[in-house]
Amino acid sequence: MKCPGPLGNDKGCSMKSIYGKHRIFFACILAEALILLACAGIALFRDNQVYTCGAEDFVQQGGYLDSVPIALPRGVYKVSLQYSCEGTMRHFCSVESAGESGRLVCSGEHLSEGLGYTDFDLWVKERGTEAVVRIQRGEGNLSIHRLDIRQTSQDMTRAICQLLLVFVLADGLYVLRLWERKGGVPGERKQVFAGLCVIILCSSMPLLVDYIYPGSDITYHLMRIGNLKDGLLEGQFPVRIDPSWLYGHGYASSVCYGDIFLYIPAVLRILGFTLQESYICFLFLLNAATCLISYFCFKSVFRDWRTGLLCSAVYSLSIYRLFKMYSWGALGEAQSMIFLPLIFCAVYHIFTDDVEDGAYGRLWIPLGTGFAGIILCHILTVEISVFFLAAACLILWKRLFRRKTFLVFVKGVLWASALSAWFVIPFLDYYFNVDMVIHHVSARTIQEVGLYPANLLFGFFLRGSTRDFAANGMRDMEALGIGITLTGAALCVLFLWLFGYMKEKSGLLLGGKLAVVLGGCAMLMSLSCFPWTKIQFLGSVTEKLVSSIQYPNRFLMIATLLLSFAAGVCAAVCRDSFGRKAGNGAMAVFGVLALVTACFYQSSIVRDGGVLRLYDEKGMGTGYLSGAEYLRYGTDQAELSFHGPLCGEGVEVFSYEKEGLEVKLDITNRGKESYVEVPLQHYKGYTAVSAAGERLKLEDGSHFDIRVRVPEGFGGEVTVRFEVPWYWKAGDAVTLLALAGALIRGTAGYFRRSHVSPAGSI
Amino acid sequence: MAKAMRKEILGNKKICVLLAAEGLCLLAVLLSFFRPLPVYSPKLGQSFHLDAGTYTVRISYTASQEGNGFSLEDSRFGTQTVLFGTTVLCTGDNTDDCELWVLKGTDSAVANLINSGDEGLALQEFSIRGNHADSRMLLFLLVLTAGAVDLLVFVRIYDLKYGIKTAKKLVWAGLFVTWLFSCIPCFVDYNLWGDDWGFHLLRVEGLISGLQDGQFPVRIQGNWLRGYGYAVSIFYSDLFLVIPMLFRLTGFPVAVSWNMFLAVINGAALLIAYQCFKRCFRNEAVGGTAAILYTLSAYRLYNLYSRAAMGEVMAMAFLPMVFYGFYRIFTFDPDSPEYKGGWRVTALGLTGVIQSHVITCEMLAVCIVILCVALVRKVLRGKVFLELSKAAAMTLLLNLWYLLPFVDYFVTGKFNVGHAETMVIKSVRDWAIWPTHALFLFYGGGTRGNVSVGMNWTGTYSIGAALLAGCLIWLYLEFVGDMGRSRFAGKNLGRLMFAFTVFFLGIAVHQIPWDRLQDMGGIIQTLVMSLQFPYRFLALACLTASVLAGLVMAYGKERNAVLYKGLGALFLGTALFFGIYQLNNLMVTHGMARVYNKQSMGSTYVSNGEYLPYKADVGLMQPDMVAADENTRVDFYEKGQYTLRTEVHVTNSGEEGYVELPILYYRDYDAEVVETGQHLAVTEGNNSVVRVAVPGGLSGTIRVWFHEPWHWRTAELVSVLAALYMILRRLWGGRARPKSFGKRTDRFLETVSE
Repeated sequence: MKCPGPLGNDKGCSMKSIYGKHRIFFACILAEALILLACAGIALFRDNQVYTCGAEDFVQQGGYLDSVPIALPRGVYKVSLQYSCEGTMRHFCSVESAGESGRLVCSGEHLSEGLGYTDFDLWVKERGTEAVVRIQRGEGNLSIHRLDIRQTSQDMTRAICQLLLVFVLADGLYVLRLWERKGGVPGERKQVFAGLCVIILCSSMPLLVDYIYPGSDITYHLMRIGNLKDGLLEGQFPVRIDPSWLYGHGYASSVCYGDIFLYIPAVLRILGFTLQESYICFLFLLNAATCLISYFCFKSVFRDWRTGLLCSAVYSLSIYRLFKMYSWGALGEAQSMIFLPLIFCAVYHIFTDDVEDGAYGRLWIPLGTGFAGIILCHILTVEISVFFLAAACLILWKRLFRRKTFLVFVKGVLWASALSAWFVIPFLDYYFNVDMVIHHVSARTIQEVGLYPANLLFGFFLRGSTRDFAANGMRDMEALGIGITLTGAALCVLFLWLFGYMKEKSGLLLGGKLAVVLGGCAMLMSLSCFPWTKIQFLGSVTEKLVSSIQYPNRFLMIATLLLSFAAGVCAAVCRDSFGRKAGNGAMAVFGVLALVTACFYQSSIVRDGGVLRLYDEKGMGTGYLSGAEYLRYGTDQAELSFHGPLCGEGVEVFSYEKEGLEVKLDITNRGKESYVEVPLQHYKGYTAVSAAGERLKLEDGSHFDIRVRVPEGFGGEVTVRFEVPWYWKAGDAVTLLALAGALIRGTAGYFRRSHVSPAGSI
Repeated sequence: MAKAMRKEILGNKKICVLLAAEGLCLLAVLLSFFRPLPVYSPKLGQSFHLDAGTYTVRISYTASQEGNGFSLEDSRFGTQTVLFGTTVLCTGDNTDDCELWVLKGTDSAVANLINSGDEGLALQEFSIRGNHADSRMLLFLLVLTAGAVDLLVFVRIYDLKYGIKTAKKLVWAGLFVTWLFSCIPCFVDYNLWGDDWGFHLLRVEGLISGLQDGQFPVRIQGNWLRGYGYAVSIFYSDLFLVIPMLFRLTGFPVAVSWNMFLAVINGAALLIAYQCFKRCFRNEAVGGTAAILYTLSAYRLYNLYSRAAMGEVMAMAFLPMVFYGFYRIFTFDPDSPEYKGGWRVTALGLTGVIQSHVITCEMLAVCIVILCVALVRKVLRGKVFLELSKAAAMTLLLNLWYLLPFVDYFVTGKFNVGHAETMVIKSVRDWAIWPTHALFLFYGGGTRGNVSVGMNWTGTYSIGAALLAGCLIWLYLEFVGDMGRSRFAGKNLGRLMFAFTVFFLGIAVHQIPWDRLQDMGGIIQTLVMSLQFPYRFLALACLTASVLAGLVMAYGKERNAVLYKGLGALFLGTALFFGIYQLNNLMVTHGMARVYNKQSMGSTYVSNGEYLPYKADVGLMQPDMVAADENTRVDFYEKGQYTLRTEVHVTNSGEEGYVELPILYYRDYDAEVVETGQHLAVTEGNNSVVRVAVPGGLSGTIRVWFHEPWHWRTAELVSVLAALYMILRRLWGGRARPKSFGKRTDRFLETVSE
């Protein structure tokens, strides 16, 4: 067996000789594996402790009800409290350290009359911590029945993850060092590696703390993560209805808003990380993914790694992206910005490459993957991207209707459809068949929340606290703009174009011009002077499309992408027209500007952004829905609360059990046909089946709870649960098949390539 | 070449299509002037429909108290749709025609009467009638856009045919970018709340009001002080405020006109500085850099947006011209043919300054005296002295129409200006800066001017980082002896500019005994008090430091190309970086206001009240306050809130009496009996209002208006003739510009070295 990598030399070497030369390294790997196995063993077989208290162990201390101090070893715990109380969210239960603060963390949870129990996570950071369960008493009676603090194995799963990261990094560095010693890592790769690290680090500046920052939509996304975790733990995969939302009624966020990438923080939560740690990790991964994907895409476009690095820096450090991540907390948009460069790269090559080129026929892969990516992150971005892609196709219609080009687009659409079928089919099913709030927002106008031209010339953005231009103008404004780097790039390309430096008919220059034109259009469309209201009320289609955009500033996402490319074009044109030094100078200017403005903005985020500490999603409650777009239309949110089953006349419930989205009832109907309502929001897909296998009819109940029709004289157990329709499953299968096909083809391609020697012989 | 270009343009099909499209648009706009205008009679408090367009809202009302208002807004879309604001309602019976702009058709327009507890408030008429302001604005914008597009097309064709040098392209690109970024605060739908912003808005509206009163040139503006009038035009020239006035007359709302005016000032400062500096340095790139540094200087931007010190900032636009004029007079060879005409540039520059800001003239005079003393040998040369004399004489003639009334009133009247006890600013020293200000770089949105309490939230009293860098580089070159050893032709000029910069920065500081100077009394006190803020010297420091930065670049160019380009990049980068930083901070910290029509802006903000008659109390100036002696009965009185035109019908049944009218007294008011044409004596009444003598037994209508004396009219004629002479000399008298411009650098500034 030959090994052409860093552990061997170019000519290859046997495993035995490698083992002989790097005995210590392999020993270390073995030790690492053993450590990880030991941790896994502890996690699986440790006898986790349970600490129990009764009502008598609680003492009234002013407005608080405190438990006796409980000495807890370091670890992750589940605190379960059984109680009865009056009212909803009047009392609040949390755990505090009896001694020095900061030895344990938890977010606590409100107590509700309709629930009767609470369980939330507790992280004890130091051994021997004396924990006190503290209940802040509100209005009304409260009595405690039982308190359990159960040790979990999540401390070990956490440790495994952390150790794995450390081991991979250490081993990776060692392998790099070996590689360097053997033949030397090419300087170019070193620079690329260093550059990418700097970009990722600089864009992650606000993440290097032990808290997160408040943002407009952050609560919503944190709740999505928490609900995904709950959905996975109760056995849904993929999660369709988020079970904990709306006081356990469930919310169809996952059906309507793609959350495939949120499985990462959700899994981290399951592995024992706090909510904010999972969120921070996820944001870091977003930064890394954006930086890497944009680098490879722009590198491919420019066929030059330096320009690729510059564009990646300009894009990753763009104000709009950072604003959406850190200030707005718009995870959907931030995720979709990972895939936009992929689409751009594909479209660029489709329109500028030689159709006879061998690789041309494979361009549907990045195109389809990119579109699938944004479909699975943020539907609105698809709307906007398709609009601009259509505009580009219209301008380049002659190229579009070349046979091979058209075929690539068709394949791309099919590939994107296949990859996203598991999400798109349920989404369309609900969109057309379920009456949700989102169908009734078309009167919402967007022009009044557009920007000023001044926003587009802004360079030094602050965190700010308002987006209400009508009331405040730009005073204390949030970072609504694209930043001076991109504006500068647009102006530079315009000047170069006007002054005749872009006369050559190359793909790059054509792309540059088109990018500035379309980027300019995107900037224009983000302004309050753009006639959105007029366009909106042209017809029913435009009404829905325009209102769904919500904020014209979303067009800055496209402007950011296109003008990042324009920065690269500018550097390339300067290099070609004025010499290498001028090109390098332009790159330095754009790079430094991007870095300085991004650091300035992020400094403001850190300084003025406030602090949000959330360890467990329970601390946020379950009622926040942001725009409540996916709620059944007509539901009064204020009416929702934790409650048990509601019975119609003649129906009696003997037992009731609710586990996530599954409700089991033992009921009897002594009268005529009647009903029983269960606390689940009635979305399409729920079924009610009796023990005898009889399917009971479902209809909308009060505040759109599921109302089960109970036939006359019915008696027995009924199970209400969410069942995925067959065509949703068919969608899942299509996606799985597509992925499997891609995997097989990719693997086969890899092996084919790896078996071809540099000289071309097999 | 012109013929060839014409052929090129007309032979190009695309251009012909463009021109045809522009023509068609123009025709469409012109036709819109003939469309029928809508009329609405909506009800108060109820939503009504308004189509997009411009309107005149007529309200007739009676009010017995101050503090009432009339609002018209879009209850759904706010200022996205309807631009009106809240009209301030004055006491008495009034009829106001207010401008209204509707940007998009709306069904949710609502008008309301805001009653502050006034039982006598009643609205008699409320109607909305369309007007042609929208067509006028459209025409203006069309001409502007078409002009810009045509210019770009022309440049492109010219470049393709004849080629434009890369350096020139870069300079123009730099100038455009500078203008664009210096105008960031103009690209919003409101105005930043600058210190004197309200004062200057009233001046602009006052010009319109004065013209409507039949005054030309406008001397007393009738819209001030609830219609009492204010002689601001006599003391504070408003020649350049004609620009925003024209925007207003075109039909733009106040806020938009103001932002457009600020953009024009930036453009003017940039272009004038560029034209002057490139001629001084005989290099476009160096001239362009110096102009950019000057335009983006921290103090200028602060003056423009934060202080809204329009006079000062307009004067700053002309300072480079003054510099270039003196530069030509003192440095060019008096025997060369290109020497002639330097006085014209100087006169024009000085005229610009005088017509903008008298206090800057005061500071400039000090500067010119120092310059003349320093270069006394040159001054006493025949031809140089002649040029200087011509410049002084022409400046005097060109400005006589303004200076004569100014001096006339200043000498013969008694006004608040120069009297500490009536001024808001008592101690000039409180407004002198700390040396730290000069070195402070990251100015935020601070606005505090009185720095005696420290630098907390201080205003931007600095020339800025880029200009400071220029000064420090010069200092370094002198310190290490490079400059001393070099044969750089601009060495002495640089030293002079450096000395001036240090002097201006030094004289503005708190350590200068401004209080003692103020306490000296007499003309010194008047001058110091009229200066108000010693930090005003920073305007001159910006100029001299910009020239110095240009000289540093010129020195670098002489040394080597890398140093030259490096210095250029440093200066431009620093200027843009800090300029944008300053403006961005200013925008996110400053307050804002949306004013659309004159009725919404009030009328009492007279800033320091410098031009009020001595000790006149603004608080007592209430509308419709007509008083008479016991023998005189006022039967009828009519006067608007925005005009000086007053008619009062009186009946005197005894001995000679008087009637006092709600007009602030200035010397040249005239009154006549309408029926007989008899002129009546006008004197100063209580609280400096106009008192008209009413002869015994008179029963008739008295008309009062402002009447310019004959010697003012003569001065105006002289100024017009002087201006005509300048224009004719420019058109037919040959060019003042040196013919060899751009090619000769050998004699660059050599004469200064003598």
